[in-house]
Amino acid sequence: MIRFLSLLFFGLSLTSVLAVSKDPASLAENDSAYDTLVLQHRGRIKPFLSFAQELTASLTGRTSIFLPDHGKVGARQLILSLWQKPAGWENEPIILVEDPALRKILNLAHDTRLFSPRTLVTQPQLAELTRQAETARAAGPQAEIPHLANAAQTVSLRLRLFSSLVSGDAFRVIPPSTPSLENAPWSSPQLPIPLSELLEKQSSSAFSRAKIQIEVAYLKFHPFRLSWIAWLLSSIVLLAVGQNKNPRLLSIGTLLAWVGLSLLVVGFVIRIWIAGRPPVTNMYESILWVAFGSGLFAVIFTARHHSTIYLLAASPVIILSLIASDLQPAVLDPSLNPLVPVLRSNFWLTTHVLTITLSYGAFALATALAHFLVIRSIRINKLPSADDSWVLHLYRCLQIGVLLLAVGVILGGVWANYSWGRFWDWDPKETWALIALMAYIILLHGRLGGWWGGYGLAVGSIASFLTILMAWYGVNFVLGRGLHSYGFGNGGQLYVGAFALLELIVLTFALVRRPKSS
Amino acid sequence: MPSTDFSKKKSDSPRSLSLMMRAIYALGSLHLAMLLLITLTGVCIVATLLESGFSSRVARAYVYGSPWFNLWLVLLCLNLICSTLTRWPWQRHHIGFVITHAGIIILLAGALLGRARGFEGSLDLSRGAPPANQVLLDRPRLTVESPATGQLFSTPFDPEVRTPRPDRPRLLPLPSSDVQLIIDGYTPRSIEQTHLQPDPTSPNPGITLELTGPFGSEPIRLPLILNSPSDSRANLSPQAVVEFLPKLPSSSQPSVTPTFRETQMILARDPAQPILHNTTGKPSGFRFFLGSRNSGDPLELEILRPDGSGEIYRLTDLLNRTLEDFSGTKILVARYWPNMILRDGQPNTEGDQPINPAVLVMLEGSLPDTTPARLTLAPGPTPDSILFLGESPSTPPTRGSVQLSKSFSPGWKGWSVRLVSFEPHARLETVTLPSQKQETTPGRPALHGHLRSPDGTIGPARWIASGTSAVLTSAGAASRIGFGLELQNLPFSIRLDSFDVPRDPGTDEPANFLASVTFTDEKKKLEIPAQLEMNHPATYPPGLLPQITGLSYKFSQAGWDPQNLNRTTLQVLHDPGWFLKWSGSLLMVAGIFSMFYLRREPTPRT
Repeated sequence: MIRFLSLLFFGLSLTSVLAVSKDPASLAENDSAYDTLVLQHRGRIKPFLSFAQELTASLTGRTSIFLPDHGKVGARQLILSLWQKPAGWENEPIILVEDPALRKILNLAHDTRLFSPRTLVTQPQLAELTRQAETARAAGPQAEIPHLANAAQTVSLRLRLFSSLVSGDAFRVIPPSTPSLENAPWSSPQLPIPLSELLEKQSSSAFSRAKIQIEVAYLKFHPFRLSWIAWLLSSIVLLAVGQNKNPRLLSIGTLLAWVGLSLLVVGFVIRIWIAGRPPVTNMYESILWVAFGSGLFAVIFTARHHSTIYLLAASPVIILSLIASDLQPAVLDPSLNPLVPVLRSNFWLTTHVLTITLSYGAFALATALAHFLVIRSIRINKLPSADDSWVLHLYRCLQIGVLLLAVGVILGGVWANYSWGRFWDWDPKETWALIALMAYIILLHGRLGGWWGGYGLAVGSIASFLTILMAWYGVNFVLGRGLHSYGFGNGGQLYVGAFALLELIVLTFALVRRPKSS
Repeated sequence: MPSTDFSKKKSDSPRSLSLMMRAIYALGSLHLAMLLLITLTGVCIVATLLESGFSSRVARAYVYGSPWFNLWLVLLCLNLICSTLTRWPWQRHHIGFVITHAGIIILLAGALLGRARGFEGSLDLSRGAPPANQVLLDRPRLTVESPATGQLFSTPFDPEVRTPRPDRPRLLPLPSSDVQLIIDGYTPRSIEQTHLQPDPTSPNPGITLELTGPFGSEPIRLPLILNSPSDSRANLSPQAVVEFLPKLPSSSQPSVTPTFRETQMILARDPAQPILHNTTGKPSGFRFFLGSRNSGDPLELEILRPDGSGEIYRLTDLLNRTLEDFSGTKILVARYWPNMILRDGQPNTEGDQPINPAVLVMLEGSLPDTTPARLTLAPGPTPDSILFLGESPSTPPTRGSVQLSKSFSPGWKGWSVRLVSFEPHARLETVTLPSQKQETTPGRPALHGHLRSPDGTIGPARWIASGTSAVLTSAGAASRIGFGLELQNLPFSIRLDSFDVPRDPGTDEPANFLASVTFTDEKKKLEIPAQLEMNHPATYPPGLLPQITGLSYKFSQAGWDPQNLNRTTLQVLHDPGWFLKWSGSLLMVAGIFSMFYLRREPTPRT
């Protein structure tokens, strides 16, 4: 009656799962030969290393993890272990529960954020909250999901991910037997297959091997991390130049900035080439692009106006944003996912987003310069004169920013006209871009009317950047409404809120301690 | 920095200027410009917060679409024009400034024109359906009939803005009469409910039954009318039919022939993939899940029927016993392995601890939809009793009679039925009611309203769902009230020929939406095919000139139904202000560029 043959086949594939014990999980060999094994995952063929890093970030919120029994375990080794030695991993603290309120309601320890899958699956309340979120979400994209339910659903997705890893289902490494079906799903092996055999199976499948190699190299090379280190070194050297203007130090510092900018460019080129699309999809990419914008304008202005103050101003912007982008892979997702249809193959979208974010870069540079100007003015207790070179530098940054922002807003109209059929719809993202533009226009006109001078321009630049912050981050992460919903996300509110608060304090301080004489 | 034209001009402006010139200087002043810009910025901030807190409709109604916001934009326009005029005669260095301001003026003019003369709406197209030529605009309207003349009047009415409530009703006088329409309620989701209504003119009796299923779900209320072609029979599901007949039929024992025989191996650790073996080729559709609620709790087996119903049993209660389902399926849990492993190719258990629990389930039965369960009712010997006959594939038929408000068992496993009401003369009436259920249940928005005559008499109130109309009455006056989205006629029609949704590799995520449509213009005797896909809209009339001048209608992909790939929703846009918007934008950008970069490097002011 029973087809024992099929049972046998099935049972063998499960043997790894069957042998359950209370022993701690054991680690698979950290074999870098797996890096270039390819998988089909989230609509893309990608190298194992990419897959491992993305999933480790999804599960744990970090790119590596510290385990009580094993110490620090990297992404590759963690994912390989879940695949090849799944036994016991349900007892290891590898699932991120970041929301403190959720931890409290589930009676979890409040001083740690990682929990074992076993602890979590036995929580009936987690399942109940997840069900609430799913029901609410089914009502449509505009549905409001209670915060706890949303957090619970995220954790449940992590648990599902975990079970797809230990069951082996997630490892879709076997290409379809008919290679002509380009979009056919790949399958996961029923039995453990040695790496050599897997690579053999994949050899007949059509995908760009060079691309895979480059992607692995990109993941190991960390161009963005190297970039901020270069910028940091550059500003240290430039600060060391001091009053005597040592020409050798000056050129070294400038060169380091150029190296930093080139590293950013290299990183971008590789990302664009791998993903086959411009870097316009999410917060992670836009932060990188803003950093690039600041660096680009700093280098150009330095070359044209012979002042390294631009480079010194760009450094904190770039260092801060690149570190922030590296900090929280769960919030700022570095993975290269395909775009939703509305964002695809669209020249106007690309130019619109890149122009707008480039203007954010210019304004970020302006803000940094404005801080320098305010600090200097307060320190020497003197308002800057109208021909102060720093004021001119600041003005140049504001000019390019205003031009790019205006162009970007209009290009947004062009794109909206293509995608949604209308030029302008008072969508919050649109409106906030307009608010930011108006803030800077007010700033420039007030200066024209002689209502404020260089110092006011600096203070206003700092204040106006808060509107940029709102248009850039706030609309997506705080307001959370409108058509730009594919860019919506969660997380980082604390950091951005702290930054905004700090800027408000700086503003108050700048206004209170405003130098009286010029 | 650019030279400070404003302050210079102000001091230049001679007192001898005409009144008009003085007005121009006042209107074109930088002070006014700053005031307008600062207030606009503040208002926009408030509007986005409003939108976040309420809805985009509210923000639109109170800010962006409101007359004073438009007035503000017109004032800004005026300010720009005047400030540009104050520079007359324009010098070479004014070029950037003039171009920028002219650009903004033209852009705003285009926006106002587009708002006044253009529209935006949606259009549902189905393959095989007749060509459509009406666009649904996102503007709710109320249509009322004049009680005196019967003429129809229509007015915009958005219930999401200043939502009508009993304590805050909205009053509308009906045209050419003293009767008032009072809207005092709104629900975003309404449902239609059918109930029994006594009706002396009806020859037919009616009953209401309340059926309670075995799984403790909400009871089902079922009104039935005798001798009615549509209302004497109800299908609870394809497998269960209830019918109200003049006489009970003689029951016939349905012949049950087993049409499937199946075994399933269920593993607690891999619920998604039972090992299935079927001797008849047709799968039973039954699914089983093995597990325990908390670690340490006894194991339970969940039985899930093909129709989605199911129940949970303790495994120890089921083991080695045949369970007979009400659909006639026999279920036997034949084997249980607490910790299944394979030894010599045979399933075996290693120890008694439920570490990798697995069970073997055998199923035998008829495919569910071949023999439905049936409940037949007929009027009884006394006026307030009815006869019933319950039949199900697995049990012998049940007969009997039941009194009003008494319950009986129809012979379906676990079900009980109560006779709630009996009316000797009745008809069915459908009313619209606000849905009490969760937000996820579908439903249409509806308004609650009644009429009030000048003498204060109040007519009966009722709900009117969006897209429907109803007659309201009060003291002799009657008016048909319709509520729904405004329709806009197109001067041509459009038909969907094909629709295709390609997916991302190995996923169900749509990668694009491809539609072929045909435009038919009867006046011009034209038939023009067109393609549209995501980000590539189709326009009619085709060609560059209608597009540039903004006289064309544009169709973009807007929505789709994953369940029905023969249907698509297009967004339709007609914007006569198009050309002005674009040329204005271009001028503005060119102007800013020339102001900043095509002038001598600014000489700082001292």
